[in-house]
Amino acid sequence: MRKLFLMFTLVLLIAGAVIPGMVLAQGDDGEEERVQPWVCPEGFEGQTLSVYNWSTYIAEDTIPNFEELCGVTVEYDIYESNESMLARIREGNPGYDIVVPSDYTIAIMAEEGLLEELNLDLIPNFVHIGEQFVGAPYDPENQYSVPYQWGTVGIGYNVTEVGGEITTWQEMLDYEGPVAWLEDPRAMLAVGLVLLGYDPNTDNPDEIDEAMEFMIDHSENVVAIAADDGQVLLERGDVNMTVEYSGDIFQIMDECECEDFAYIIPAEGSTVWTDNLAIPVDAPNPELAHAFIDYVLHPVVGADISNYTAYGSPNATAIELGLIDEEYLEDPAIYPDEETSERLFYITENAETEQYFLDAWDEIVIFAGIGE
Amino acid sequence: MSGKIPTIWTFRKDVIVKRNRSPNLGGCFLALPATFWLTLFFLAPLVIVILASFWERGLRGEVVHNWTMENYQYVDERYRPILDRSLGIAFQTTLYALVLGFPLAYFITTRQRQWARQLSLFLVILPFWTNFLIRTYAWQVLLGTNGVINHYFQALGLIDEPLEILYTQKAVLIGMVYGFLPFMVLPIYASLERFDFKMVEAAKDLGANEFSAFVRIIFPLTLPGVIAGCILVFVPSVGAFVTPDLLGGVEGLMIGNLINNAFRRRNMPRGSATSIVLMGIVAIGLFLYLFVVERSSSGTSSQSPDDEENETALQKLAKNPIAAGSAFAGTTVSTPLMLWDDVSGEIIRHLNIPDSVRRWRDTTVQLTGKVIMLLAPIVNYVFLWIPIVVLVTFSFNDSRSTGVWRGFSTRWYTRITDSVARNKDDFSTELMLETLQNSMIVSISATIIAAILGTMIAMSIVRGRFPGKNLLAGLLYLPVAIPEIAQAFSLYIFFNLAFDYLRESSVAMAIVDTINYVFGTSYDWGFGYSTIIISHVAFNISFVAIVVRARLVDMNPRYEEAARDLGANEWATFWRVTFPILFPAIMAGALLAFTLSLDDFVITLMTTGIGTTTLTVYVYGLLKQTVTPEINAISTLMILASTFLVGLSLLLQGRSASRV
Repeated sequence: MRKLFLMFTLVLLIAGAVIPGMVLAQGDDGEEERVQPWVCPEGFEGQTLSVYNWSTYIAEDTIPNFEELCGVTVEYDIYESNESMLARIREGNPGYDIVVPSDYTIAIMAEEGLLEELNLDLIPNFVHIGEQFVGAPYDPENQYSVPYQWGTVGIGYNVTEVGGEITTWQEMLDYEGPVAWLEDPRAMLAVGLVLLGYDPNTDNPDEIDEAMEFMIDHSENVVAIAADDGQVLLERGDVNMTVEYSGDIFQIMDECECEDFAYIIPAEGSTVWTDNLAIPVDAPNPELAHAFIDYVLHPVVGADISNYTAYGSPNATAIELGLIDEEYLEDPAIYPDEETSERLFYITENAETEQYFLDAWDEIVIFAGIGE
Repeated sequence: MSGKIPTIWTFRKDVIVKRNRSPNLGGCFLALPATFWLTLFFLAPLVIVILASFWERGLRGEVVHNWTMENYQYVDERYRPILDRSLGIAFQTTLYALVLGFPLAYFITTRQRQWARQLSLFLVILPFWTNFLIRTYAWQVLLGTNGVINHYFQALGLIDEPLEILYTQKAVLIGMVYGFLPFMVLPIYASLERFDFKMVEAAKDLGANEFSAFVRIIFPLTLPGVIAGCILVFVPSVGAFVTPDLLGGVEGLMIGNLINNAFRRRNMPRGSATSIVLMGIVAIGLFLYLFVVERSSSGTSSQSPDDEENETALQKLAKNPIAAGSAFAGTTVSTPLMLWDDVSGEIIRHLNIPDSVRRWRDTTVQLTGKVIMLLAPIVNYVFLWIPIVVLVTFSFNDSRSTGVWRGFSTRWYTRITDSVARNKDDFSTELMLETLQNSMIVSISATIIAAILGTMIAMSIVRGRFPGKNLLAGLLYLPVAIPEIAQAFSLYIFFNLAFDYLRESSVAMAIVDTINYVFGTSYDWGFGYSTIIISHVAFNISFVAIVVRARLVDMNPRYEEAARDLGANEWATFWRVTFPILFPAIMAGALLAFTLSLDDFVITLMTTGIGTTTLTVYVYGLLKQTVTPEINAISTLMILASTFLVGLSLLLQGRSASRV
């Protein structure tokens, strides 16, 4: 996987050097060809598409534009965790055409036959997806999913309060002030495993236990284990450091217009995650769902979404053409450099050991901050 | 006439016995709809939870049908300290809610004018019609290290160092007392409202001071309400999870959080086992409590006017937990108070203390009472409304943050008004308004149905005489005790099984086809408004029934007997006599039900269909992004709208009252 990231970065670098030249050489035609407005395939007028996504995890005009372009109605429903969505689809799809599961959830759903196979011929815009996001370990052939947004797990912190730069997980564990952790068992146990020099996707129960003890021993400064709102705690000053998903921290950095907050991907390495578009089994309108996926993968549409959510876009063309806001594009915490990319890892789903991880997390939740 | 009155009193016992002996099948009929509802949508799903608790978790989180005790062993080994902590917090929550809530209920009841009474009642419930997540964020803003309270206390020089409240058990306690206060106030209000204050005057005429009157008359006679309130606060707070999640940090973790985590992490067997242990503890608690009641009530016969002395504690529990509970609370709480009253009275008499000292004592007591009655409403209303002030303030925040002030702006309101006027297509605002509409449809329907069914079953249990009634009374308490998430998952599995069955059944399909043909609809068995409403009614029936029942127990059946003697039929008796007397309790129960339904997120998430997402589900989904002040703005508008409606209805009532 590290290789993949290395390759991606190389591709980016080369693309960065070559493509502007290409565009220049080709003149206006080339660029126009690549960003031609999306055209809805014929014959969907009057139909309905049901999307099951996280709340407003989409640009303001993405859905209204799609409704207009295709002459369709979109029902948009909301879930708050992969688990809730999975639980519902597992008992029989109530009628959704599109779901947006994270990486490991794709693996689970594919294994259980909860996803329709995609027909990539109906998704020509798939070519825009950056190479390192094609064939990710949770769906090696992109049989079931295409990437939607991606990001990392890292440390958001208050530069002023902490009084200096933070670069590692170890610094966070040793910090004396109030800290919040993230309610994400695998990403948090990965911190312990990486610091102990183990594989974050280990299948050795002893190593998982050791990581658990290690995390509990280093939890004295933890005041809260936040659901997905660590950035709120950080912004208000209830904690000075929080483990969070990348995009959330950028939202408060944008808001405060100050230099107080920073987000880093710790030097020891961290989790990378991808949310993906997929079609659940028994979707009422899979054809329209394919059209919708193609629409979202269009560079302009995809860039709009990432500019709104402040998460990373997997759309290489959108990046190459500079459709993504420059401030995001230049931020190494959203689009990490080569060195950092090498230390990022996906969490892989291993049914055999999952319960070990979850039980270890139970123990951490009970004893964190209070000791045994 | 003059001959009749003594007859009634003399033969009172016989009249009651006579009524008791003949089975009242009308009463049985009244209980049917609610029983049917609870059996189908509460008990059947509960069976799924019980079964799952003895099954294994499969490798991918599916339930494997192999019998095992492992889930219970795990709970026993690992969750004990957290269980203890949860019981402790729930106990304290109940105690503080009672201490705060009783004087408030008393204050509301003693307002002379009807509009003042209703206004003070609505002021208790209105804060709860705003989004729960936003309200709890407001508490974070108030209690935080740099929070409002620390800020002002430091500015006033009261403290040097910021108080550490947020992310401790103190914060959980504050949040829970806040969240459950109406559950204490409304049943006590419903009970006090019937209280005849002439009895206090009579007691005073006979020489009782304020303290004696309270200890010997008011408190014992409102005990059914107090007990109902304590049950409604204690039982759900043991399994609470959102408040400890948002305010408790690592120190305030409760058993509800562990149950929630288990279900979310696809471990239904463990989540179910923990839920069953929790429900078991609550049930055993109720039983033990009644066992003690039986023993203590046989000692102090004055507290238990119950004729049937040979019943076991279990029979008593099933038959009338409220009355039995009253007897127990009566002996444990009132006895020391009365003893003190007696002793102090005796001392004064024996020491031959001059009247001036006696008067001084009475004045002191009276004064203390007055001060409490003056302070209690102020403290309570400030407590209830402070988070709302924070919430409203942040609706004008010129930032996406609901916790840090960055300048004044009305832009969140502009977005909403623009969207309503269709000037602009703001996708997220449109979506929010749609979900608000869904919330209203769901909450109003669920409240109306639950109010009707809850009242009916309460009447049937108190008045009816039919076999199985005791069991039914016990059934009513269970939905309050089951953790929401366990109910959510089991309902979801249950609905899916039911739909599979119904789609196969030709009779069911024929019914649906007929309905669709007649109404031109295109309904199919599946998730939607109907499943959410059904589920909300299932947990709301109990809340309405418990409140209404507490009042019915107090109600003198002779009003109805008199109406019947005067020639009214059952129907007229109910509408002209029973209903007006019960109305405050039904209203109180309905208000609780509406609040619960509006705030529910766990059960709704699992039972919603396409396009029926509610506002609360929408707001929780926002956690992935940021919860913006737009939610505060819509909450503020909701409060304004309900205040307007309440004001209007009070105005109309005032007018019609002055005309009559």
